[in-house]
Amino acid sequence: MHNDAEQDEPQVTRWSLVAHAQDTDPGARMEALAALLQTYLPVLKWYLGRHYGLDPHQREDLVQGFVAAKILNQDLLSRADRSRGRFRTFLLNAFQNYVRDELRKARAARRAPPGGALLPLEEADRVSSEDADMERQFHRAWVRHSVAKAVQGMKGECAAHGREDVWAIFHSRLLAPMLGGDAPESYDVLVARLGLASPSQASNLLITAKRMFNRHLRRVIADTVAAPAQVEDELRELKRSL
Amino acid sequence: MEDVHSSIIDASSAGVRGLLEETAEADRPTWSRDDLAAVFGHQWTAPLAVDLGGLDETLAERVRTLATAKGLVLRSFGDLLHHENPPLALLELSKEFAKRSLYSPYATIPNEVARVLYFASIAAALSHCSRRISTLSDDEIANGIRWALSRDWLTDGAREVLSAGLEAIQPQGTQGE
Repeated sequence: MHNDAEQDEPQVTRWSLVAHAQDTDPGARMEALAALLQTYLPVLKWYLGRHYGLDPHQREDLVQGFVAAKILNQDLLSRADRSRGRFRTFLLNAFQNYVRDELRKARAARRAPPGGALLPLEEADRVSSEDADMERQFHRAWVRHSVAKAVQGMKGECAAHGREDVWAIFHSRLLAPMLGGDAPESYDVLVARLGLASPSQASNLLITAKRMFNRHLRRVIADTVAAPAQVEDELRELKRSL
Repeated sequence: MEDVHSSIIDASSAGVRGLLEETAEADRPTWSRDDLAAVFGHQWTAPLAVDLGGLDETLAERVRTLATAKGLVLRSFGDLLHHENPPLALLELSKEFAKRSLYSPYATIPNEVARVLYFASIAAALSHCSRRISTLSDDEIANGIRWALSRDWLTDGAREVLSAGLEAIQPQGTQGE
């Protein structure tokens, strides 16, 4: 039967975008770069808030500084090598170095006013001793963003196909209880609220919802690895990093 | 939407891990007979528009059009595969969905269930439309259908579709084995 089979390939992997971001065509280069930044910058900003307690303005400044200094001026992406591992690990290492340097500069600026510190200076000492923790938190942030993206994709698909019942079951039986600690809505209540025929129909809808979520999650993950065969390994790695 | 996004971003690691484990349950690779029966029963009644429409965005509208053309009311895989005169294009899409589920990392149904659905789509095209929708040889199709028929978790409806397909490609009296 293999002669009748085809392999699915994700439309574009992040590594492909990295390659396009070095394209000679300025339009293609900027489009690929924008797509890459849209994927990774929210995670970097979230991380800065969670790890350093920076306010949104400080996070934005630091991340934009990283983009300007490292990605645009120093052509960071030209040094990314897909044979040497995950792109996000490469990006994180570069970001770690940049943050460390900026924190040192901020500390120096505080010692020699005027100029004033942009960042909490006591963080500078923490950085050097907490690289491992930083990396762990970054990967945890990455998992959350991937899950959030999958959930958003699923919600969008449910809305587009008029399957709000699938979304409602997923939200009330899994999402809200798992993430918010809410009590799961009973099947009897769901049957009445959604106009379903029976609790078993509600149970079947939950299976559909779980599969739909898994499909979206795998799409999100496939978009960040070099080949489809790496999706399952990456999924296991993401779970381990939580 | 933003609230959902925030709730995930700010959730505890245990909560996110719990969500991933709970949903992975639907794809667990080791399936008991009862599990397979339940998943197949569900797939047989699953809405075509959700699963086939998920192949890609442009197909979603095509599925809706085909499933409702000429007064047809094809809501599920069971409706489609049992119909006396099903749209061949929809059977091809059903086979395509099963094939992708067999080989894709995106697969969301157990391999065995996908394989049965694959041969059931081919069988329905043979018996209801007298058409082949596969490049497999007669023997390969017949062997595949026999394999599907040997699953003890099949529904009676699926068994009828597969048996009719087998009869169409290897009429009784001509069957080997």
